[in-house]
Amino acid sequence: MTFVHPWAMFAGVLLAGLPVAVHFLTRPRPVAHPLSTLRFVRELLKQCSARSRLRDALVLACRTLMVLAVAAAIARPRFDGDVVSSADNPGEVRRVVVLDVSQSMGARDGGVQLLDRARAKANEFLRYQPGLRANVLLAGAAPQPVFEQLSTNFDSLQAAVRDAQVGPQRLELRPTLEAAAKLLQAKAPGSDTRRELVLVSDFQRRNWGAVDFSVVPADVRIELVATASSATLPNVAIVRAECPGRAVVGRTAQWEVDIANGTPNPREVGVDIAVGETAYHLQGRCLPQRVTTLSGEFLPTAPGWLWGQACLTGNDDALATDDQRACAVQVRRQPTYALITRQAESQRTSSSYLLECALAPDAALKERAAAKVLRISPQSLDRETLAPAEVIALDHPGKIDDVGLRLLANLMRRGKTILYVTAEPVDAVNLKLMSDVVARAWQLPVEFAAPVGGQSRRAMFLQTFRRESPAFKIFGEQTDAAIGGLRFSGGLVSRKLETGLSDDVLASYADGSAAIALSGVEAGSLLVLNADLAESNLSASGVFLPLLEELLQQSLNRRRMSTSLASGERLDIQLPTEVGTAAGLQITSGESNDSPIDGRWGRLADDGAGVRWSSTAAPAPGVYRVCRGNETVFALATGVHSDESQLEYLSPDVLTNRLAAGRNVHYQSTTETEPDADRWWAWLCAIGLGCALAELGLHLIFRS
Amino acid sequence: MSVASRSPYLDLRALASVSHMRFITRQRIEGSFSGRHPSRRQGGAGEFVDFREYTGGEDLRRLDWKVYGRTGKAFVRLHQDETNLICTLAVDGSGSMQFGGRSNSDSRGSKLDYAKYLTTGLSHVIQQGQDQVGMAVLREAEIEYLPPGGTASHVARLQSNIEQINTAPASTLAPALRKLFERASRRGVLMLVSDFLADDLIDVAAALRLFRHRGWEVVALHLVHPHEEQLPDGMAFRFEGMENDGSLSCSPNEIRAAYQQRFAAHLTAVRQAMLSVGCDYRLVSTGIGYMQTLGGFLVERSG
Repeated sequence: MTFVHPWAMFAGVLLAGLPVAVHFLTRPRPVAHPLSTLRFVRELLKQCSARSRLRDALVLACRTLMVLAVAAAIARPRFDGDVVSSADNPGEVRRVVVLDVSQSMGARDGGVQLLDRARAKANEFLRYQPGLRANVLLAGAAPQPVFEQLSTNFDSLQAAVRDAQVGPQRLELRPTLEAAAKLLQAKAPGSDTRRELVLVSDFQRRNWGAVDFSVVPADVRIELVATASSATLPNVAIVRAECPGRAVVGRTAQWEVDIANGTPNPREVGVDIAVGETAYHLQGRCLPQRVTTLSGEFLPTAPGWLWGQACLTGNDDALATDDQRACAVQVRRQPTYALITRQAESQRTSSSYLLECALAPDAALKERAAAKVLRISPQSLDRETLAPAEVIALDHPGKIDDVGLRLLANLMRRGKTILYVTAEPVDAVNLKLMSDVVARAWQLPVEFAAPVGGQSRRAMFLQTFRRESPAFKIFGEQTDAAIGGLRFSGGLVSRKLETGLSDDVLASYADGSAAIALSGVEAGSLLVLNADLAESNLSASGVFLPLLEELLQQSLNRRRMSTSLASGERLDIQLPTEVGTAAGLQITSGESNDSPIDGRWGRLADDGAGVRWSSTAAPAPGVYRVCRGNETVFALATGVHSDESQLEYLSPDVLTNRLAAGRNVHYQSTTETEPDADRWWAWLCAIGLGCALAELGLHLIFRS
Repeated sequence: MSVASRSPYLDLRALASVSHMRFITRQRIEGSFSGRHPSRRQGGAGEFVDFREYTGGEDLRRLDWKVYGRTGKAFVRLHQDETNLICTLAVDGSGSMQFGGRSNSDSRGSKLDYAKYLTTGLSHVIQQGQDQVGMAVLREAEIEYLPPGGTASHVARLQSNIEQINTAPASTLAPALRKLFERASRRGVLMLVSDFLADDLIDVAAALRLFRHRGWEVVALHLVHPHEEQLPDGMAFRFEGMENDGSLSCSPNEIRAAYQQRFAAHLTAVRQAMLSVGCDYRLVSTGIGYMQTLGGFLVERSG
């Protein structure tokens, strides 16, 4: 507890004896008067003296308490526990002021930016006082100390606070607190140096909801300074804008925009998406406190990268920065297939023939089918032949030599999708050898093996399958009817591996063998269809084409690279294999083709699997392209982290009680002209008034 | 030879208004001489009262021979003797009787002054009725006693003694009454003038019961000063006792109501104590003139 005017307390203590003195000094001087009935008076006084003494004691207590209460009210006590030290209680003090410069601090509350309030308050803690050494941490995705250690250069610290700007980053608390704790570590054992940590922030629920102060030494006094004036600020934000799935030339794709409505009322919102020369408009109604997805279709006409920006129209809210968001999408050509088989092309009822027909169902002409599906003999596998194909299918390939298997495994690791129709016992050997090549990066969910005794597997049906998988979901309510009539023959038996992911098995036969398995291998994926298509009725059913199409799409999407990232987060992206080597690549922003010399947008480097784009922090919101010459080979859209758009703030009780975890944490708000800790004077005035009323009541009760 | 009294408390002009009135007792008394008051004895002279059958040894002069001649039975005639009144004026000499001294704002005087006026007037009236009057001043355990007498010089001496009565601190009255009882040998009337502010009210009643038992007629005149009935107005007083009982500071406002209740209870207690022993009790306020009190008393007594 501290006092704004301590002298008033001393005066109050001295004046506390005043009522008692006045009581005795102003007692009426008795007049001598002879009385014959003195014994009557004496009897009565014996009866009344206890009552009179009680009354006098109570009245004096009331008066004394009233004087003390008024004096204390003038002194203005502050019951704020371990408030940070001030010039009134000097001493050796080590102080770190953490200034939140995350994106949410750019919100405007009552026409004032939260960071402006934070700057003014932070500078109050950076005024000169004897014995004080301080430092400032600008807290965003990574903490940035103004000085390497605590300093007495308060002018520079205040200037750094004045110059601090909101960054398009999410506040990362853990490294910030660790950095603050490191700055405060320098304390001689046994010394009476006070250590203080001042956190000036808006205390967003998303960021601060799981704060852990345990990284800060226990004797550090923590002062929380909140900048927001209310529990929430109304904000509508675009938290995601992208094209889900694969955008393929000639096939309809979708833009999806997620709108977070942080207001208490539903909102009609409009979103303008400008991509290249084309503009799209989405309109929708957003429910309060929900994320609503608006979507719209577009038809890609040419392969390559598209980038642009989605903007909310007619939106006036607390945070304007998150009303637009960059987006990027790669439009691909129609996928091409390489079919590795030893079966002859002329063998029309073979499994490979049925698979080829399924891969190019709309190719009525043989020429078009050949352009889409390239049959390759297992003995003539080479990189140049396989590289153009997006999907490599293997059906009855026979025994593949080690070189071929190694080539297939490496292509799969670098982004190719392999569809393996396991119909023969030798396929189990091929899969085993492939998995050995990429053992560290890949683990099949099951281990395939040849049937025991060479017995042929016949007329098996799917006992279990994953209904939520897109491959089965497309059949809707007809799934059971469509799948129930399928009978499979051939294939391998499988044994579930303990280290494998059971989710990778999409369907299983009645004997427990895997029928369809899909697993990712670094940038690529492997899809296993465990059956002989020629002996199964799958190829003859209407299920085959959509099932195979969805399985391949699922495999291709699985290796789809993310093209969006939150600003400030660590950037580490493996570029697609078609990018080639890092030589000749440069990073540009938006429409510009200029690349910064200092590499602040990250660096491109070759590694064993291709080109890696890395940086300690993703750059500011926008689109960043990796170009080779004038050609864009990759694009990345960065934006504000969605958490920064949730302008909900923690209450003081939560911060000081639940999250403080027993620590003595003090809270104050920059918007309260008179904080709770400074309102005790009003209560003391009320107590003084109550004492006066109590004295009046005592006089009425005792009829004096 | 006439002896003129020099007592300042004897106002003959005022007493002239009651000179025609006599102090009449309500019961038969025992006097020294023949007088106008019915005697306890029944003799052969006086007013005929009754017959009584003769018993041996009686004076044959009272035998009614005519009755004896007619009936053959011997009866004696009984006549009511009349005798003079023997009155003892007992004045309380305790310190509390000094309460209410004459001041600039109050000319009524103390209770003792009032008692002096009253007893002086009574002695004059009794002496005018050819009766005997004595006096006693009652203090703690001693009395100042003047036996009853009827001569002018005796009355003058008595009035002089009354004039010279001084008070002494005393909180009891009963011992003095017992001493008076021992010294008063003849039955008569005991007129006790007191404020009864004594600690031994029960003993006082017991002592008066002795007088009543012997055949005395006891008249209790209870003197009350108007300033005793309620406490004075003011913020604070240091009340000083009048019977060596110290002093006490207090604010009268705090106990005013309770004091009035307590004093009323005292009056009731005295009245009940006096009536319980067969006394003629009269509450006399010193706020009323003593002649008015004396006149009222004599009117009531004269029947």
